[in-house]
Amino acid sequence: MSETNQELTQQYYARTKAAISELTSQLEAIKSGSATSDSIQKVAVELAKLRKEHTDAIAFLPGYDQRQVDKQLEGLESQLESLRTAAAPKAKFAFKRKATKAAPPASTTPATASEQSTSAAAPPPTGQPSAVHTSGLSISGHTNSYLTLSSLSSPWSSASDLTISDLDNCIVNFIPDSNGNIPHDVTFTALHARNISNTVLILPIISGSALLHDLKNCVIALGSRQFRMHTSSEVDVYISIASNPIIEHCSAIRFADYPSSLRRPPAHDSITTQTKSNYLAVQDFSHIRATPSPNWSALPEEAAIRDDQWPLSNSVDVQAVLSQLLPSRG
Amino acid sequence: MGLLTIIRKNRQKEKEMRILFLGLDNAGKTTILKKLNGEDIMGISPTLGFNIKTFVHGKYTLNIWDVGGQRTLRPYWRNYFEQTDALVWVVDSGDRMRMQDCKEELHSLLLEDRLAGASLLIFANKQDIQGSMSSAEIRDALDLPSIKTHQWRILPCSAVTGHNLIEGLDWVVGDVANRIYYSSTAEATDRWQSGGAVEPSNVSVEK
Ligand SMILES: Nc1nc2c(ncn2[C@@H]2O[C@H](COP(=O)(O)OP(=O)(O)OP(=O)(O)O)[C@@H](O)[C@H]2O)c(=O)[nH]1
Ligand SMILES: [Mg+2]
Repeated sequence: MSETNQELTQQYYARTKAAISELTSQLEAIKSGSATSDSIQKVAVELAKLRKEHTDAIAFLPGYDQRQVDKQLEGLESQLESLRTAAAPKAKFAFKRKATKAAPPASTTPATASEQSTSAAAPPPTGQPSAVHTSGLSISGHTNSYLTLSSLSSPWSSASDLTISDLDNCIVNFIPDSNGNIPHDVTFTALHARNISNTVLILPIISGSALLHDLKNCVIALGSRQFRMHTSSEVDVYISIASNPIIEHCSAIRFADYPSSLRRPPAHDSITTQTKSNYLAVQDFSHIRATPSPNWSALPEEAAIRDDQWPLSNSVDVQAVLSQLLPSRG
Repeated sequence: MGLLTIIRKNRQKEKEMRILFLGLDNAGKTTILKKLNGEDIMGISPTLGFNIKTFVHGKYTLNIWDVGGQRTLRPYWRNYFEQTDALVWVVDSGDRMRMQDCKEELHSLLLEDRLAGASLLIFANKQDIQGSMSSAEIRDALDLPSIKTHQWRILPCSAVTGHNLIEGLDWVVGDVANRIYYSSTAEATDRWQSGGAVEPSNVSVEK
């Protein structure tokens, strides 16, 4: 019995080691060349296979080996995740063009009225893919700027999802203006944030969930129903939340309560504003163990941004403020 | 015919269905189930592990498994495949940035032997959010027309308003019932016979 186990372990270990180093070099190759969704897809499939084998192997692998392999796989997974992000625009256009074919569903069930009417509404053919079409509000592709609600892409509507992506060295202030320059009654029903670095994000309490990927050296203040942060590092999070904040494949994340100076009279989302914040009830999905996660901590009071320090006026010197407030000030 | 009769009888006594809810994290799986069950949907945390809900739907008892979809949990999905009658794949229709990821996860599930007989419902959830993709856009983004191995259907829905949730379950139950249970209507009998793909492994439902 023990011999069989040992054999199994050794075989598994040898195979996995070889596969991991093979994947590592493939990822390197993709990084130094240009990432195509094809090459990424291949690695993704291989990696998923390894993950499966590893899950199966948990039954016989000693705990130490388990963790070693687990760590290496995690490393590869998060590299892959960031490559995917980098190649993402291509993927987004791909289905736009397909949508124009208006192919009938291959299902053996008769097409439903809902399916029919929505496919008729598919966008007309476009030759060259242009900017990604989102009908929600979005802000993307800025450096060294102070951004406010008036910098948003689309015209106002009372409720919409919000996408923030590809920012570096910015201050984003989406707290509704008390002077009435900006509609007061705007509600965001979801937040998607991706690929943001060296940036301070000051966001209101929104009525939906927040999903964030690839933040690096940022500060974010936000209220939301759920908070999920992936593949990010060095982020200070000031959050008002009633559920458990989630991190996955993250490191050096610090949590604090949402600053009272940013709260506005609760217009819509009375639930989140009234409930006491769970900002320290963080769950790290990359560390599902009894021991505390090494990837996050409570933000010490002396390191926290003071109420009067939040850069709410667009006349500030962006670089000066950033060098003062970002987690890593080097 | 003898074997089929036995299968029908066993199934008829139990009238149970096992339904698996999967999808990326943040899709709304838990919210949909809570809404269906008339529970509060405000303070839901991301699922670490799984939940089981039991509904009585007409003459059937539905055992619904809701498994967390965070990336680190996805390798464990396979632990829930056994005996699944229907797969409900929930999509966050506002999550354009992860549609590729969503498509890859779905198509790799469909290769699983243990899910081979399962009906497939795709819920294009969060339709109440302005800016979300329509079910036709999602059908193409996920390349559903290429699926030949499973009986599938896509429905736009919202866990917040409750729109189409019951309709989705109705379809799932009807589709599974037509495949697995002996039904007295002539139409169902026809489908049953032409469907044909019932394996003895579908018989034991007791867990
Ligand atoms: N606006 C809107 N929000 C929704 C809808 N369905 C779910 N949500 C929100 O989306 C977030 C995620 O919902 P969950 O039910 O936790 O998602 P899940 O699929 O169970 O996620 P995991 O457990 O991580 O796999 C929550 O903040 C919900 O309030 C919907 O139909 N409309
Ligand atoms: Mg859940």
